Amino acid sequence: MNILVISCHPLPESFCWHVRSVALDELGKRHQVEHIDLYQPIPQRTPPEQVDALVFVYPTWWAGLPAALGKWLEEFCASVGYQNLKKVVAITTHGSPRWVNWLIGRAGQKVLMKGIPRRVGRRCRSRWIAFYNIDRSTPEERQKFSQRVREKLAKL
Amino acid sequence: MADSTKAALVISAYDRSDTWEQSLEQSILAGLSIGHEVELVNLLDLGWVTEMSPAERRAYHTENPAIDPMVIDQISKVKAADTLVLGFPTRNWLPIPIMKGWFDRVMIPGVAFTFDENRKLQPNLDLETIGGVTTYDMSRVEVRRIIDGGRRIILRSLRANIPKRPRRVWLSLYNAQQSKPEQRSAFLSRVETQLATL
Repeated sequence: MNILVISCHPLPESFCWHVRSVALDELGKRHQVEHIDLYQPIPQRTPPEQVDALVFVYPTWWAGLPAALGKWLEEFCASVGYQNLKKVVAITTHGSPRWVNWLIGRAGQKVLMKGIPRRVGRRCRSRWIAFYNIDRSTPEERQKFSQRVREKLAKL
Repeated sequence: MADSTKAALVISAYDRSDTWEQSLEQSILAGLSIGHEVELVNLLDLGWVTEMSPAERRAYHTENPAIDPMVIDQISKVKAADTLVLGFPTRNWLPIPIMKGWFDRVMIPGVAFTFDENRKLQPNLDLETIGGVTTYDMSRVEVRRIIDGGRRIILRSLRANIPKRPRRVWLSLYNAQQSKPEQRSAFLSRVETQLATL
């Protein structure tokens, strides 16, 4: 598959950057991968119509997408390409526990998992790989999550 | 002597210039000026930077998370306010990025919440009323099918950071781009009258 990985965290020392390198490493074994970091924007090389899968790696802020990812989404929604999109994967970290996110709305999750397929007008599968409660997490939990990311992406 | 006039902060982000949406800002101000001392922040005029910078993120979990003078100024305005009203277009189920960027950069530790000794969030906003005034680029059905992101972030996420249950106001117009002139003027006057009752 042609996979476009979109990452969006300002800090190289963040857990998000670590997870993104795990994702790039795993996906690179079997797929054609292009990576865009929204904090170091470079033009996208793969034409939208050739993109088979989108993989987002980002921190959830205020139950939603970081503003930089919101900007990208605006461009995505304005584009007529992406007719061949078959998969959307979101890998994200949350500061707060899962139940809090259930209560306050999961806006980022809904928009990526349901909104994107709706926008491209086709049934593409979506997969949510989320880490909750990162503010209170242990190194073991984070390690376990990295492993989960690897296993899920291996089956993509 | 008790001062009965309350302080209102309006954050406005109608980003399509030369459209009728720009008039929403005036309607918000006109409505709130009844009973409020109003402070307006127009994010586009201000030249608000949408994204949280690496330096800001690095400072986020420190004692002094606010480092940009523009952000520090916004924080002092939020702290002075009794009423907070956000006006913005909703596109693709979400508040437009510049509005979300205001949340990301201003509603930080020490402002919206604090961490207790167990790294749990404690609400920290002292607001009596919160509100949103938005236009949608789609129908009510289409919004409901996926998510009403702006409404959730303001009426739920923001609210969760206010210890004393605030009054909540939500004023919106669906299918705003296709709306007829009479629908628009009806919405403008609804915004003004509703906010005048706060």
